[in-house]
Amino acid sequence: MKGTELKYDDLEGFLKGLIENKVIDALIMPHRVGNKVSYMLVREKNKIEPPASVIFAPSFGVNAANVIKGWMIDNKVGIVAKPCEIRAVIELIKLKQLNEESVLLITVDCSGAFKNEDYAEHYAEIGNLVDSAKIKELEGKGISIREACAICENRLADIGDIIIARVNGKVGVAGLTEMGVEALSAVGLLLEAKDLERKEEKERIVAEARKRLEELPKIDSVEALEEFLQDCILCKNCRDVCPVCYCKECFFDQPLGNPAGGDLLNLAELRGAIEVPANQLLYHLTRVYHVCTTCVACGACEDACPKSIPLTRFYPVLAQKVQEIFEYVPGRDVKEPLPFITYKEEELEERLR
Amino acid sequence: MGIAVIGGGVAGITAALDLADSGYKVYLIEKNAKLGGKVAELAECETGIASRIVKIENHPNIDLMLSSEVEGLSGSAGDFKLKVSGKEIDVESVVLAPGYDVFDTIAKSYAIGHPNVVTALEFEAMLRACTASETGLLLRPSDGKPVKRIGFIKCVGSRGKENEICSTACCGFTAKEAWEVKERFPEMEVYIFYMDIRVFGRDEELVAKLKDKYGVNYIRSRVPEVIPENDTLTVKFENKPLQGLRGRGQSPRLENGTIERLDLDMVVLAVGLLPSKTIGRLAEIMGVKTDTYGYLETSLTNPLETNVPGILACGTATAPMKVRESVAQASGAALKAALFSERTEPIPGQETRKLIDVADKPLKIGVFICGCEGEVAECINIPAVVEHVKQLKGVTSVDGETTTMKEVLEAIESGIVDQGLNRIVVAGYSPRAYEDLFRDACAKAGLNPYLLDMVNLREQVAWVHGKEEATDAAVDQITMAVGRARYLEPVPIESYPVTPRAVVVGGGVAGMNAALEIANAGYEVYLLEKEAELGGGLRETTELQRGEKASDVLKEYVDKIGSNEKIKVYTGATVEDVRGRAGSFRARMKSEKVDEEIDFGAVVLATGAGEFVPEGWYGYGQENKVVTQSEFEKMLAGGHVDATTIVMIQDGIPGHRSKYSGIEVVSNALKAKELNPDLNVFVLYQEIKTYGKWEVLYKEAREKGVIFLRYDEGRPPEFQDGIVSVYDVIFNDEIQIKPDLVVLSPAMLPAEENEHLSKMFKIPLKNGFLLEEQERPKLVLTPVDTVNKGVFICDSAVYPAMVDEAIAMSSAAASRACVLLAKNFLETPGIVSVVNEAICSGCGVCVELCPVEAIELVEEPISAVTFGVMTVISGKKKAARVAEGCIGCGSCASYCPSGAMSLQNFKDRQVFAQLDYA
Repeated sequence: MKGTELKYDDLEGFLKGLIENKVIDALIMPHRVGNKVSYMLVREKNKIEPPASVIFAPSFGVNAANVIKGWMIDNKVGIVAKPCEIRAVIELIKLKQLNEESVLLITVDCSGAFKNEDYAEHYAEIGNLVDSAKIKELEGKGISIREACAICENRLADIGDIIIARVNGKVGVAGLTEMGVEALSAVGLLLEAKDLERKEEKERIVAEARKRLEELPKIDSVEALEEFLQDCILCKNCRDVCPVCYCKECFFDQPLGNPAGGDLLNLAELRGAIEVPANQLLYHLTRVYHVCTTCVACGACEDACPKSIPLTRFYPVLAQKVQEIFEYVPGRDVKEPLPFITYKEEELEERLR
Repeated sequence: MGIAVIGGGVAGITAALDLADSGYKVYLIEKNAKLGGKVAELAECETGIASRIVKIENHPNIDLMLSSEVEGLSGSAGDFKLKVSGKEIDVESVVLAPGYDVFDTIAKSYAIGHPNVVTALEFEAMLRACTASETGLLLRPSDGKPVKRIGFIKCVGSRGKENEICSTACCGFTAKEAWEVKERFPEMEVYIFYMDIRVFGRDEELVAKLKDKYGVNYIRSRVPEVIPENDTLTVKFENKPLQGLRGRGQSPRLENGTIERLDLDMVVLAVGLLPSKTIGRLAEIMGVKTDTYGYLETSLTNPLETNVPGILACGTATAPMKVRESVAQASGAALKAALFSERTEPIPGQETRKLIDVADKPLKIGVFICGCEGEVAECINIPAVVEHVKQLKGVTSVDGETTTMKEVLEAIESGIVDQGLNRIVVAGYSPRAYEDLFRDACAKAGLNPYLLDMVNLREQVAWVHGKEEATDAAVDQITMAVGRARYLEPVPIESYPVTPRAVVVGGGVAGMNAALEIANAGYEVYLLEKEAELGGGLRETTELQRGEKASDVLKEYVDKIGSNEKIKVYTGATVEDVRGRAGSFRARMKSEKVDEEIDFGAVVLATGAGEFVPEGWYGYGQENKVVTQSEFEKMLAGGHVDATTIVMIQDGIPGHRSKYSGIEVVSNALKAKELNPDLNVFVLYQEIKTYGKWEVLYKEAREKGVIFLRYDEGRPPEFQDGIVSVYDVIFNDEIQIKPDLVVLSPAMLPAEENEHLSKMFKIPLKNGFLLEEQERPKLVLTPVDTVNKGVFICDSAVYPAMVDEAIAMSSAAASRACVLLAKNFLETPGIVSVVNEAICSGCGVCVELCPVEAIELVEEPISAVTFGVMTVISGKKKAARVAEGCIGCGSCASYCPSGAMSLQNFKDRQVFAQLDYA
């Protein structure tokens, strides 16, 4: 890959340069409101805040892909976000929910994130930047990163058009695609061959993540799943925040999926008695089936659940098993076709036997 | 008048239906009391033959004469008088399809008579019985213990003294039986003893799969005897070097060239085929000739014609062959027979129908429960089911009195007409086989044919449940169907006219024949050849295998085509941009002279296959003493071969070998020997596939001194410094030969344009060849039909075949095309996908999933509304749209997460209603 090394403080000039040089028309990036971190869409370059203090902040609120979903216009937008968010963007490109030519994907390293409210509450102890040692230390104090982050194997920036990696107190910036390299050149960066692969670090992260996954409580029967979902109030927040749920009108907002009045009474007549709101289990099973190949395991569903159901133990865990079967990693490569459309006559034979 | 079809087996049934469906009067004469012949005895319950039989029994144009025998014939083509069991019928032509007999003088050494030794057909019956049995296991007949090890012995009663020719079908059906055994009982050890594996095309793939994936042990050894000891059967066989057994568990230890013993629980004898005993007398009555072996005599270039004009022959009465070839011949013979006759009958389904408007009518569901001639009635308490179903909401009538298909069909029609039923549930027969018949019955009575649901009480209830559960299960399933029936809606059906014109792609022997057949049947044909001249492979050949001059054959075809007004020949022609569907296609044709839009109702794809140029193989292209068989054939035709020692290498080059490859080798070897008896001819081979009567050629070659040396797949022959070395597995030693000429048999390559045609006509491609509708290992009853109705395939487009098969198949393709072209109109398919564009997200996954490219994404400009001000920002949003050609497979609907895409007749609402009662 081609890239260069910058000081943390140089990032501001780089991002401003993207707008200034008309590489992009606008930029989606994290910004800070007091102790909190959220996203903003910047059209005017002077509105860009010093990125160093915010783009690596270990806080997760909304998955940025969800913000950019539906960007079908020709105007080009840059997006600075964590790997799970960029992965979701890449899946959405495959699903034609945004225009590939209109987005410049800038992925930053992530060290694992706290729920945004936890982050704001403990900002004094967490700060702008953390590393694995610091996370461990905080965990000792009872301040833990999100479960989805603990089992995440893809924390290092290695996808998108441009990556911003944290290396030895500096940042490595590199272009992974033609669009990325052109963007870096356009802002006047001198590029050289750069290795930001970080194989050993990746292996260490994967090993740790798998260990943590093993430790998670398992849902191993339908009964266990029913119990797990018992408190669900069918608010469908998990769907609304999901970056890869992309239906214009969800099946569960249609009469068949969301029976009311006469439909509801018919169902009750049929079975004698039914749980209401109806279709709780069907909703989650259908949703997991719909997202199981594209789920990027960001954990947004769990954060959004008003009843605090630990949905990470269901959605990403199950999705990962499906993705293993198809040897598919969502967001790994925009050219990699969705498993649904690569039918091979014998792909499942071994597993079905 | 009409046409007589003699023989009610699979060939006779096929011929009768092709004729009757195109409006000819047919007399179907069968000596037994029921139709179906040997195919009806096969294990697969869904062979497709049963529904054809029902169709025949209810066909207005077929006079079915069971338990009838032909006693006399007088008159001539166009005016025959046929005496059948005392009756006299007038017919214009006759199709002979008397079929075959199973070889029945099996040597005592095979322990025939022991309960655990069965013939292949008996084994089919056993497999069928164990499907319906409670355990589902394959049990040893002698003591009822499960079979753990089974052996198949091939070539019993063929390729031997009693019957010198090869029975052709056995290699294929043994593979199918082994596959069925392994699919159902993966733990069972399967051994197949054989001399050569003479399979082609898809069967070749099946055998490879059996060996590599299913762990079936193929052992090349002729087993002379089966030694029974109580319940165990011991076989002795000669073990050959390099022949590893691949089975699991306790495979016997093998050493080179030793005699081994193997204990088996069951032995299946793949018994050979003999010409039917009735043929002799039939031939005498008809005045048709039979050959040395007792088959009806036909020729290589006229495979369906007897010596008597107006009397056609087909199927296993002409030579031993598989079902696939047999039904192809039958279709072809039917069309030829039709030429002597005239259409006198109406074509079923071509009447104008007025459908009742059910929109505002209250729901009136009629349920028809059929005893299926005892098969259902025996297991299910029908009166109890009737009582229960009567209580269901919306059900106005329940009929539990019918026992046969005919009775149900009549009951449905009168139920609709007399009682005003507007939803029909039929419980009994399999929808897969009979749905069309029931839909048709509804339509006849004026009800939209999609207001029907079916429950399969036979296969899915009676056969799989014990007596007590069966009745409960029947109630449940009918309740579910009634649930769905409540939500069934009429599906719009439109009819469109059929364009009575065919396009034939490919001007080789198959294409030319297909064009002529269709033109003779009275339809216009565009014959498209990509080269500058007609002829294809015939141009590359000098002499056919029975000595016919290729140029004579070619000239005859070209002359006939030239003088036929109905045929327009386009050379240098290709077809592009195909639209429409069966009966009404439109495409762009480009040729040397024209570039125009053409309309046609059917298309026959008869592309050829090309010979692989074995550049670099065994020094081909570098040394001029290395040639291919076709080049060698030209030398032979020239009458001079400058060599004293010739080595022919068969199978040495990987790829698909044509069906004539083995025959070509043997025939060329013999021709060489004829030219110069002192010539040394060595044939190095793995398999010599001289199927059928060609086996005699193989025998003759060995007698005339051609030396056949077999090598193992893992040790192919080498050719270096002028010396061919080969490890012969029979001598178990390396042999070196110094030849003056090396002759190679290169693989055949599918036509390059197949890929383009496959996309254009939406039919799948496998290994470069076009795929027929039904695929092995299933029984192939429609060898020239494809998934896209209206597109027919034949000859080398499917698999490179012998010239007789190419001609028969192309006649079959022509026949199938003519059945379609005979219709005045067709109806649009009802079960197709529909999009709700309002909720489509435009993800395009359905576009990728669609196997026939019938969905497209349409783009619309995007507008943005900001603070009430509408601004247009450049960009595009997408939505799916179903275009022409949807085959109703439902792939798109089953993916679509929001339900924007749905399948008519299988709407979520309908399926949910059914599930709600599960």
